[in-house]
Amino acid sequence: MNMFFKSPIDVEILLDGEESRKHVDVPITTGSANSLRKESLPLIEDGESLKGIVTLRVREGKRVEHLGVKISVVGSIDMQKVGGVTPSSASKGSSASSNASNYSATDSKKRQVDQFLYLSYDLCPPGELQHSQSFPFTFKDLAKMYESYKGKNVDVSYYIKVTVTRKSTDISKVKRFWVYLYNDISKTPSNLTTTKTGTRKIINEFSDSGKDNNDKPKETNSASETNENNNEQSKDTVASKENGVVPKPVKLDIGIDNCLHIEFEYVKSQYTLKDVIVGRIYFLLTRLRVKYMELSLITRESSGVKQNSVIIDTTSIRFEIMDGSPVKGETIPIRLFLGGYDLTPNMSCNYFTVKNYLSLVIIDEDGRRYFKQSEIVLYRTR
Amino acid sequence: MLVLAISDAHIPSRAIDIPSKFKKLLSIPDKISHVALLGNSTQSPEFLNFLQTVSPNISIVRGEFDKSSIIIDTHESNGGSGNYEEKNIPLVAVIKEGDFRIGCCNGYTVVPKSDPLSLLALARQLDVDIMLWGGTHNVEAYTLEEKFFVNPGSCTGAFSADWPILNDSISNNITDIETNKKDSATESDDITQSEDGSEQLENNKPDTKDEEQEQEDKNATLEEESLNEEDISISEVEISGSNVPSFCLLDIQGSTCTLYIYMFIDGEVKVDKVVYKKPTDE
Amino acid sequence: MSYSESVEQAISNIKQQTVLMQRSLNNRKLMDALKFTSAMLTELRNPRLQPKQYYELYIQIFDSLTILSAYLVENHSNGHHLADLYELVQYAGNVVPRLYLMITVGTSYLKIPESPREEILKDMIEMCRGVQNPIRGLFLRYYLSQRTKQLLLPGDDKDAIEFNSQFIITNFIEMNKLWVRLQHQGQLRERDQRTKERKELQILVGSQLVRLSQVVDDNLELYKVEILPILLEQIVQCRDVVCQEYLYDVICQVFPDEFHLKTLDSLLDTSLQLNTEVSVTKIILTLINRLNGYIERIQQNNENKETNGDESKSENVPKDTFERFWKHLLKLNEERPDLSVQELSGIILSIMNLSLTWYPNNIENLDQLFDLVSQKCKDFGEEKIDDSESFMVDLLTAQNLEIVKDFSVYYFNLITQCGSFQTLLSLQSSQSQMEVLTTIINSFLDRIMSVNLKQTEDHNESPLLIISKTQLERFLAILEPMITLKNTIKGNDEGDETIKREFTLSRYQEKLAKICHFLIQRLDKSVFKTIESEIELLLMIKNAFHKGGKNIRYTYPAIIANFWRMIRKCSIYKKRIIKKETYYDNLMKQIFKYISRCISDMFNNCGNSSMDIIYKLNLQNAALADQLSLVDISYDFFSEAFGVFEESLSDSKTQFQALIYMAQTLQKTRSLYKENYYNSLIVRTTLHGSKLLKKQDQCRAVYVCSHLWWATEISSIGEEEGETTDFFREGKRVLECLQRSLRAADSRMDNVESCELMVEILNVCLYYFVHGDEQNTHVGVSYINGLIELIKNNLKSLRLEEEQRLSEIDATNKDSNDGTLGQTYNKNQYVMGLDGTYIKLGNVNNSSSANTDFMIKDMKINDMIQVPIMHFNRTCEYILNQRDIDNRFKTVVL
Repeated sequence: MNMFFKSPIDVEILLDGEESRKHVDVPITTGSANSLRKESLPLIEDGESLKGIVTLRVREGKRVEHLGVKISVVGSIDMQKVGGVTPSSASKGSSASSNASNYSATDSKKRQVDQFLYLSYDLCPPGELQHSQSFPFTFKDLAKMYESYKGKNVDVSYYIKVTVTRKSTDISKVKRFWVYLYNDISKTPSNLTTTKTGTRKIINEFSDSGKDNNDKPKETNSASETNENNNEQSKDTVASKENGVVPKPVKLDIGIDNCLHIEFEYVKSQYTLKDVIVGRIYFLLTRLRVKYMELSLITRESSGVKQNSVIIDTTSIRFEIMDGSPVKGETIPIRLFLGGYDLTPNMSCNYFTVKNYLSLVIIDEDGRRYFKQSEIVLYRTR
Repeated sequence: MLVLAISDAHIPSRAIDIPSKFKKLLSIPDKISHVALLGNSTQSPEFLNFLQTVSPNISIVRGEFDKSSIIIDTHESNGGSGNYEEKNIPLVAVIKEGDFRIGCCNGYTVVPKSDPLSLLALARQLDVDIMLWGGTHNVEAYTLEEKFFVNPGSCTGAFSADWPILNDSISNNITDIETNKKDSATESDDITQSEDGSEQLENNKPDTKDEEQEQEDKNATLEEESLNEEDISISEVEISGSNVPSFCLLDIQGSTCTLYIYMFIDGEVKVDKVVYKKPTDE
Repeated sequence: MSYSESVEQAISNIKQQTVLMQRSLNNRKLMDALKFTSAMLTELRNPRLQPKQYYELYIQIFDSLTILSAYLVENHSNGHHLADLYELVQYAGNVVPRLYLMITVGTSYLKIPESPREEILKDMIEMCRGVQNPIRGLFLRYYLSQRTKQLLLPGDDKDAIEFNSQFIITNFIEMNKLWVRLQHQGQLRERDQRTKERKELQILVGSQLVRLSQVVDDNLELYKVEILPILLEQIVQCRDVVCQEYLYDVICQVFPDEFHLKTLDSLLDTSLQLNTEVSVTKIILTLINRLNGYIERIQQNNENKETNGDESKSENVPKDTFERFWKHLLKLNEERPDLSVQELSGIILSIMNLSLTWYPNNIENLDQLFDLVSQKCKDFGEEKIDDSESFMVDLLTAQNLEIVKDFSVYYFNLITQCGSFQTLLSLQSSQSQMEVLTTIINSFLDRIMSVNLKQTEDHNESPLLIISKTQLERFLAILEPMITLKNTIKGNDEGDETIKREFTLSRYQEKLAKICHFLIQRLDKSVFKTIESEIELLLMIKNAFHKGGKNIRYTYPAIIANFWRMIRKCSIYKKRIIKKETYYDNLMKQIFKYISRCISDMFNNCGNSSMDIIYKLNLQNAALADQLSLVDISYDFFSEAFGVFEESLSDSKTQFQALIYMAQTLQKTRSLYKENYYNSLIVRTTLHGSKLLKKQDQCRAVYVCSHLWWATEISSIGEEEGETTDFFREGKRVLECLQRSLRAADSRMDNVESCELMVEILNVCLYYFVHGDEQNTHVGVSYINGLIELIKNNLKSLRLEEEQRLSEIDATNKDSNDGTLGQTYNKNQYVMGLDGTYIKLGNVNNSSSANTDFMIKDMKINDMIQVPIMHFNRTCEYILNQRDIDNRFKTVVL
């Protein structure tokens, strides 16, 4: 709409040293069509002061009266479905609008559920702008609670907003930026361990979407991995979270009666985003005719009210680690470089969590899939 | 056309086999068109099979140690053992080859044995130009009354129960024949070819002759001192009483017959040649 | 990314991607190049490819990757550090392309001097575990092996070699596992297909051992302690037949033979632990072949050294190699009682090969081996041995062993020194025994015929000499089954079949007869110095042959011939060693007694068919004895012959010929004149002749007997016609015979034959006419003229008699066939043989004589008439010719 009206004032927000600043490519979505186009946003780190200059340009020979110019920095969580409602297009792309003139910085489909950051001050008192004028601004040592995130149902976005208040419509300009939070290795999130009891429990519970578990009909050959069933299963795995303190390797011993029995091990449960996942799978028993085995990294975003949370799994990496059918006693190495992928570190807040799971999937000759997910923590380091 | 005259093998009763050099000589297929087997050679199926490979065209006459019939495995040469045939062996046989009629007999029913006149009478009876006979184990070849007489001897040099030919007499085959000619009191025609052949035969003899005599000399000296058997060496020829292994090939071209005599002496094969021409009717 | 549907598509895709990759490389766009490479590698994921097809693709891809590798090495220092690339290529989502890329980059990196070789190698081999599919895994690892060929750790130090060998072994172990696993993939019914595929792939696995042997080089210690045990463990553990057989073979082939010698025990022990389906024979055979190669090389070296005059002592041959195999064999036999005789004999044959190569003169070893097989045969019982005939024959004859250069020597040693050889042979079926014995005998006979005996004797090196009675006994024991072989056919069978059996039987007996000559010839003269000792051994042979029952009719003549030879030797000794004359006379008499014994054995055992032979043997003995002036013995043999003639020769044809032969023999005797022996014998002969069944036989026999009163010269004893005066000649008796003969001819009812007989008698008359004056021969001109007259008359009447019939025939012929009659009168068509058979002669050249029974069926009467006429004409011609030489002939009236 506003495209048809030429704004009397041109607002430009420029961060200090923006040109040389690191940028992050974020996919953008125009309309409903998914696009691979990317938007490059400047990257601001946690605690970093936000400094820059706002330039207001008036058209030649024009005077613009205003009731004051205000600058604010906003951090918000937007959500498409808050919960309770069956998501109809939850998986569809949802993107923050890039339109600077829009009041809301987020996708129209996503509504803000929380504004965890709002700082604001006046750049200039009410008056009249006769010619272009620049105002430096500073938000000193700005603390950022969350990392920027662009998920399926949830976004975490940050932006600077300059509003020229007028009697008529306000003129505002939004400049989005991206935030990374870094963790030190010493200060790793401590939300996941697998206790020994945990290990014991899950023997013989290796998920088989195709045949065994939980009275599922045998002939189902669903290849889907986004099922509730699985979610419930994995609750056990993570049930004991928060208990452990020291990061330990992930070791699991799982199997299907008289059919398959494997032991696998990831050297760590927590990885930086540039890390390498190293591990091995040891086959104690195989009566399956395995076609291949792959390792996937699944990013699980769960959002909304606890009882009615929306859970969306995204397979971030699919990585074949074995071809053919091993025999008893074989050990298959795992090595997965994460650095090359665009991954999301684990996140957690009241409104949503992002968790990462490694899923080991065995596909047999008949196309049945057997898998086991185990949670890992991804975190960002400098 | 080559006709092989071979006799008195006495395999296996008196000899193991013919000399392997003979075998090699004869093992050329399709070379020899006819085999005249002159008796005492049918006890060994193996030997008969060998002859079969020399030529399938075999005329057999009966020697004293042949049975009156033989069994021939007619498919032996093809590797199969299929048909066995029993064949009667006659006393005499006549072959026609070129312009010649060739009579074959072992001669054990010719009395006196090997007598030229008797053989001549037989040749007359059979109306043949060449008479092949055997039984004596000694090679002979001569012409009498314009007929050609050939005894190929024993192809194995087998033991002969006849009067042993002792000492110098081995070399006297040919002179024997000449004596015979005189004795028969018939005036033989001048048959130059034959005499040429005789000379050749004689020329070959000295080797053996000398050796024999040397041996004899040696023995003679030993006789004085030693009385032990081991000191006396006896040659094979002395024991067998026969000549050396031998056979004959008759190369017949029209009215000419060239006789090749093969003898196995001291491990070597020696060949002599005699030519016989059929006299024209004029 | 997915792979192509067909091999052809895949190949063209690979080609295309290769072109694209090369173009990208030329433009220095490495990422693109890797992308295309990845695309081509995807073809190697295709699970539907047969090993051969897969190999085809692999080869192409290998070449393409070589291009990439070269680029990577070149550009390492300007832009694309290989360490980074090594990580980069691991992002590939599919494991097979990823690992190919990784190995390509990794091995390129190895070429860079400062690269961390060990880590890269370890990493690559570890990551290869990701491919567990047999075919794809095998090729991947083969790729690893090919790429690392020149790039393992450098240097000859122990650590490097150990690391390298460890690397290869690891790869080998994994490949082997994959290879074995292939067998168990897919449907059960496709097992054979799998086995076939595996054989196609085996070279990939085997190549690892080849690599290993190159790395190990001559490091025996390393091989022995660290490598072989691991390899063997792998082989044992996989429990797979194809694998065990193949790998055992490869180990034997690729590592140096002296290694095998040093590790023989573990190799052998391991072979006991293999799958029971594995052919132990094959394994041992391979091993032995290698060890034999070793020994041959050593021997060659030694020879070279000797010829070079090299003083350094030639290398020693280990003495216990056979022992080790022997122990192994015992163990094997104990642990695997299920092992069939066939398998065991195969192994034993191999070990024999070893023993013969290593210890050519040790017969004891062979004895042990044969003993073991005998034991086994006994354990299994007879019925099972039948199936095993051909291999038993192989074992016993050792025909396939190349090491045996001279089988005659080999067999000779076996027979004379190896008792269990005979034991084993005796356990075989009759057919096998015959086969083996035939082979053995042939080897002896071939040798004795091919080697110039005189030469070997001169050089005193002929090895085939029997040096003791025991040896001869062993020979005879070996031969016994052949001696006693029975013609099992009873009368019920088809005649043809009987003939056939008889024929085969006679072939074996022929061998025996020949071997008898062989044995006698091979007696070591330095041991058996006297004739007496030779006689003793010949008697041993005779006694052995006696067990053959009826078969002696084939074998005894050979014995007798050898006795004859001894007699003649005695006669020669007698002349030379004058002092012992009586000794030799007695010895000869003794031998004649043995011969007599032989003949009567034949008489008692052999039945009617051999009577003719027995008769003639008697006559030959008689002749021999006569020559030696052993008058009584000669007479006895003649009497024996008469006995046989009178009692046992019934067939008229046989009788006739036998009698003629008797006459021939008697005519040549010289010593029987004493005591009137000769006279009584010739009278008896003539009497028998005149009593023959058929008139024509009588006639001929009698005119032949006339010669018994007319001795002729025997030049070899110095007689000469005209010189010698004491010939036994009684012309009167000669004439009597001829007259008697003529009477018989005259009384022959058949006119044609009657005439022919007269012409024959005329010829005999001419014989005597040539020989001398009438007062001696009593056959004079008048007698001859009379005979000619008689013949002429007879012929005339014969013509008259037949003319009628002939003209009738002529008429019919003329009617039907104008003027072609002349051809029916071919005067040469028939002649009469010695015994009165008609001999027909074909017109065509080269057609052989057809000689049948007394009457040729299609013979025409006019043909028959021609026979005496032509014979008479020829006789007349002879007489005419003689006139030129001998005036007396002019008195003969024609």
